[in-house]
Amino acid sequence: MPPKSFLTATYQSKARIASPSGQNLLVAWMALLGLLTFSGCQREANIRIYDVPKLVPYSLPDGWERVENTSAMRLATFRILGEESQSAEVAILPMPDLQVGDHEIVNLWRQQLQLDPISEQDVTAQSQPVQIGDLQGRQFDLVAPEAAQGEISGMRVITAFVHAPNGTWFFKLSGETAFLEGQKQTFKDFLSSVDLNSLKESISMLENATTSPPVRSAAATVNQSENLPKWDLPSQWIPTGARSMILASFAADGEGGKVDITISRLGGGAGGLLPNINRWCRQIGLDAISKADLPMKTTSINVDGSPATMVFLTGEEKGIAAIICPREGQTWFFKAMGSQGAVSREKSSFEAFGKSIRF
Amino acid sequence: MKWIWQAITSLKLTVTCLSFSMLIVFVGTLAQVDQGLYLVQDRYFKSLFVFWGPAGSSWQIPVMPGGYLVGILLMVNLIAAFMAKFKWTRKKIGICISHLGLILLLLGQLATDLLSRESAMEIKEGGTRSFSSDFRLNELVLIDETGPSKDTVYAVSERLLQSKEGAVIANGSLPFTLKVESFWPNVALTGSLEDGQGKLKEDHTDYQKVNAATGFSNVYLKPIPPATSMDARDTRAAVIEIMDGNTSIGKWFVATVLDPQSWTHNGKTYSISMRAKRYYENFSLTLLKATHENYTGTNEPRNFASRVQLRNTSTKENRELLIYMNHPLRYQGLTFYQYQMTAGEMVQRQGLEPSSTFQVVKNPTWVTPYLACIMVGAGLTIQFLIHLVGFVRRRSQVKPSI
Repeated sequence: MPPKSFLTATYQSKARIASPSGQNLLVAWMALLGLLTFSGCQREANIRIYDVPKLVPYSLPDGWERVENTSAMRLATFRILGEESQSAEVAILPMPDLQVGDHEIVNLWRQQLQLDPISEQDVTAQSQPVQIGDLQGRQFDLVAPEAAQGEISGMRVITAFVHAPNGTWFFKLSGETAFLEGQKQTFKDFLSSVDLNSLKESISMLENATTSPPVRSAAATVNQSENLPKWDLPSQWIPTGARSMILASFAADGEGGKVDITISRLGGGAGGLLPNINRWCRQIGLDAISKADLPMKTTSINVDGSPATMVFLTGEEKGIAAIICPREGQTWFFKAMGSQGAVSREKSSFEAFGKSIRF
Repeated sequence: MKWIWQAITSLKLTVTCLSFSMLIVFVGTLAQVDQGLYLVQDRYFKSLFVFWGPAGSSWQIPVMPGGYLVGILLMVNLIAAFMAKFKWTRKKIGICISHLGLILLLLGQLATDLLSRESAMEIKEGGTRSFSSDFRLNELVLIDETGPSKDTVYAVSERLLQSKEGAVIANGSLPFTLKVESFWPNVALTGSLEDGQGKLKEDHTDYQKVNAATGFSNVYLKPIPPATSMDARDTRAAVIEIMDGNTSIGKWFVATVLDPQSWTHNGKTYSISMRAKRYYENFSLTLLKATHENYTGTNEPRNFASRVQLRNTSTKENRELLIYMNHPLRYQGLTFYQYQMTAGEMVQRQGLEPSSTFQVVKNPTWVTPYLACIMVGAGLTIQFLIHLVGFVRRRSQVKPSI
């Protein structure tokens, strides 16, 4: 007789009732399955509580204030204000894929200060070792000649850089020569406190950077906060939230492109009217203006009873409309920046917004 | 009881379940065209029943069993029939191993479904990440940012939010009582109902204004159906009222496309946001370099590679490694696959920041299908050899007739 195939051998034609222990085993199996399925339905915990270590990218010295970056290359910018209206600026610039030599970078800075280029050997000789995070970097102290033209005269730049696994990092302290002398040690302490590993990520988080959201946040409490003025928002402006140095921001999209409107506040005179306007001029590719040009470039505006200055700057591509309002020992900045056409489009709305501000 | 036992041990049930499983796969595959992969997975495969209802109606009826029900019935049927009808003999050891392999396969798939997770870790060049974000799940997070060295995160699942719409979430472990005023599974947001030409948008009547009490005075939302594309992600949104006891602190409008919003209460700083569910790890990855190369003169990708630095303070690991196509990083039960990349010449020309995204897969039962297939294969081979040897022996014992 030929053997039964194993398939037909598996299932006998007549069912055999399992023993009670077999049935119990099956019940146990089914209970297990039910439990697994049930746990599957409940697998997402309703409330999770956990601690996340804060990313501390650096230890910020007293008197340093984070301000808006003036260049896309910068990761962060800080302003140092002295007791006698002196000011200095610290910038962090990451260069993940630097293709040029150290001496070329140093000569680029020297060129900015109208100093003659020096050889690679001289660059090595003039560099000083400095601790940047847990790595050893190099520092250069450059002073512009007294005979240098324009704002450069009397300027000093202390730069430090380090080649880390995640790229080259530059730290640049710039300001008036005498004021920087007192800031050298503070800058050195700041450099040693930097965490190069988490610097980029943590600063991005501080800025609440998101990739490409259609609408960014409006900090609900910002508009409600007693520390901020009230205003009538133009209907086309979308709240885009507060960031570390930006108390509130909005975006207006339309023909000609997008305009970013930011509101910030700095202590004291915030460096003065002319330096701020000249900084904006540089941002949009315009030449700096002199004090004598101020009346032609600015108009006076009344912001809730306080005299303020409105400036409207248009470069070849970009434009800036801004209101600078000193009030109670502080300076408020209301600034709209975007393409030249977009800023022109929003000019009237911006002016109406400025006039609606109530402190 | 006897008829129940006969029913669950019957071969008819096996055939019925197998037929339904084929039907589910067929119908589910067709449904992916309109509903997308994830929705179909939930409706057809990860469910006890597949429901149907007329478009626009609120009622639905079950029309066929779902993947969970068929899988469970099939396994119960297999185990029951195995116990009821199978005779344990040495000659059937191969069948026994094959069936155990099948059971392991079914159980393994159930366990994979229950225990595995997929998330994404996006890192910008030079950046560091120690968490990944779920592809689909979202959560409302309330973060106590007061501590100098750490943040305490209170994460509320979107499922709880949805189930508590119009109700209160009062839990002793939360610092506040949350009242879910509204919850939307997917919305479109806009700052203006005008189309840019000064005219109202055609669908302006579909929009509703976000509660101005949240501070969003000029934001409108429109509830929309769930996204069906693999690349798209739903925009979850909610209006949450936060209360300290019975005292209202304020109302917040949160959505997955919005940034966190902060406030101070009793000297503590909190933030609230709706975001993709995060999974934190005890190690970090820093993206050192993202490389995207095309074949010369074409847009055909030749190589995606990410050079990363892995740091684990608990094990003091600090090493550099390369993740590229078909060469994932396997670490601590997680697998990091090269998933997406924003790098290369085109990205540089556009002035974008290079970044790399890894698909992070956690599947503690990944070995079960391999083991199950080996068991089934080995069982069939053993059973075949037993029969072959027996057959050859019997043939050799038969004297040829002359």
